[in-house]
Amino acid sequence: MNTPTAIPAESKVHHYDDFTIGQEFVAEFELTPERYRDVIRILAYTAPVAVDSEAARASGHEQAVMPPAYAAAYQFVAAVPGVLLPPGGVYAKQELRMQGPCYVGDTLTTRTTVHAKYEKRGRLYVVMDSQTTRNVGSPVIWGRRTRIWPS
Amino acid sequence: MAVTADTTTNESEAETVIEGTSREITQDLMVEYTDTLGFRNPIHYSGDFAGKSEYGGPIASGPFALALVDDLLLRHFPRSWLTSGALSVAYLAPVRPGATITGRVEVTGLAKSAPGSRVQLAVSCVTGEGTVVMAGTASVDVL
Repeated sequence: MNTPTAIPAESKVHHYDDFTIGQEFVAEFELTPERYRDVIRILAYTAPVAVDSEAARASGHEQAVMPPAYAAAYQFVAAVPGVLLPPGGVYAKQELRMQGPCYVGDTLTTRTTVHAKYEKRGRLYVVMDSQTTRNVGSPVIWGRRTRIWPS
Repeated sequence: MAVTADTTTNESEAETVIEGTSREITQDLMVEYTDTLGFRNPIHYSGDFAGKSEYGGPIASGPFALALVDDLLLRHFPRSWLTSGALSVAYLAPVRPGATITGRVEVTGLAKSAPGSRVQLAVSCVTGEGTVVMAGTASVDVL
């Protein structure tokens, strides 16, 4: 299993008030064989195109695909170096639009923008939009996540 | 109308409701998942921290439920899900360690689209006790 990513010395906990609409974050991560194996096992993927390279090639893919939900997980602002999150936040809503497959060996770049932030029934919400692209230039996934932010 | 891999069909034996296998979400899995992301949120593993929260104890990350539906759609639309799939879900209830959850996809309609047709789907994830922990809609192009 992967060890958690090292935290840069200048890391800062981002509270609700630290976000502004339009603020942008960029993260880059590599789809390593270890990450692929972990996600297939931990999230229990069984779809042939995700676990069997031959089945994936028969469906027109280069090799077994990285599951979209996992690529989306790296769209979270917590994947941005230097950004720490206060403990206790959880997902409220999530939208995803798949744009193309990605594979082990790819390096993905995710550009995340703060779309909205608001308070509702005593809870704080931050809405972020993310676009993830492969290093070869093709788009992988667009996502919008609404997260309950700890106060 | 029903759906088989990347195509539509009117055959009555084809599936209109696709239910995945059930799986237990253990505390160990919850910790391992946060480790793969490099973000250890104590709401997912710390009895002390999560016990004092509004959830009353550790809860699983949303992607555990999302992945069960994602896997079903990837299985049934191995080409088109990755290029044209769209998913919108709300997380409605917490998943506790030891809970068994099951992903479910139901065909709700078919609309014309540029490559042929676009299948409309209702998606959900339910615990063994019948609590809907995640629900929403999805759509995907088919030939």
